[in-house]
Amino acid sequence: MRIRRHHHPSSGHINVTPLIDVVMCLIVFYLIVGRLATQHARPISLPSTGVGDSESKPRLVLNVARPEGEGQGVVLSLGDQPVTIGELVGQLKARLGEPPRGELAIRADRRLAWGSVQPVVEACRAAGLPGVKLVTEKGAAK
Amino acid sequence: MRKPFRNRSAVAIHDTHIGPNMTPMVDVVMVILIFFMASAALMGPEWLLRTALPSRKAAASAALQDIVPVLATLDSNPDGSILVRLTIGTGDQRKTQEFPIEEIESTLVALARTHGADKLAISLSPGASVSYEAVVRVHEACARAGVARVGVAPARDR
Repeated sequence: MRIRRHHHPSSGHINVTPLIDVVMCLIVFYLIVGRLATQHARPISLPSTGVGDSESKPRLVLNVARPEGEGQGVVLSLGDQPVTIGELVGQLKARLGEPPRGELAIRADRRLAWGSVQPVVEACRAAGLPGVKLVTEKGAAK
Repeated sequence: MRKPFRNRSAVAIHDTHIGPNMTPMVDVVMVILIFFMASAALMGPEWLLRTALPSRKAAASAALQDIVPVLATLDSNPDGSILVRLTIGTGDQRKTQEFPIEEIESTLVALARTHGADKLAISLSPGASVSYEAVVRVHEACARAGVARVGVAPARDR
C-alpha cells in the first residue's frame, strides 16, 4: 500500500506574528481596563486652561469633588480610596513618605469655592509637600 | 507524447507563490495602529499646573535671593465680579495695584517685562468665596506671562 506523505514547507524558524498580535491586543486591553478602573464614580468638572505641562502624571492623584445635591464641603478620594479631610495629612504622609517623595496632583471641581479647596491645600502643606500640581482640562489656546 | 505530471495541490501552489507574504505585516501594522490610537486617547486631555506650597521660611529666603515677591489677593464682589490686588515687593519698595480679573494677563505680562519673568514669585491668596476656577485662571495668566514661580500663600497670611 502506498502511503501519502504531505511535506509542509518549513521555513526553519518560529512564526512570531500571532504572538505579537496577541500580546499587543492584551496590552491594549489592559490599558483600557486600567484606565476605566481609575475612573471616578463622582464626575469632576475640571477647569479649562490653554497652557500647562503635559508631562507624565504624578503617581498620586487627589480628587476633590462636589457633594451630591446642595451639600456643603467636598468629597475627597486619594487615588481610588475615599478619605476625609481629617485623615488627609496622615494618608499623604503614609503614601508619599516623610519627607514626601513623589508628587501629588489635585483634580478639583471648577465649581467649588476656594474656601472648600483651601483646607485640602493646607493639608498638603502640613504633610510637608513643597508643591502640588493642579489638573486642568486642555482648552483652546487663547 | 504525454505531458509530464504536474502537482496542483494547495501546498504546491503555495510553494510556487512569488514575492513576500503581506498578510503578517498588515496584521502587525494594524495592531500597532490600534495601539497608538488607543494610547493617544488614553493620554487624557489634561494639563498640569505646578503650584508651590511655600512656608514662611521659604518665602523669606526667596526675598533674599533677588526675587520680587508678588502677593495676588483675590476677592469676590457681591455682583460676582472678582477683584485682584497685587502687592509687589516688600518694605518701602512695596507697590499695590487693583484691577478686575479680566485684566490679570495684561498686567502680569507688563510686570514680567519690567522685573523679568524669572525674578517674579507670585503667591496666590484667594478669598474663601472666590471660585476655584478663578484661582486657576490667575495661575494660567502667570504661566502665559512666563512666570514659573507660582504658589499658594499660607492661610495665616490672609
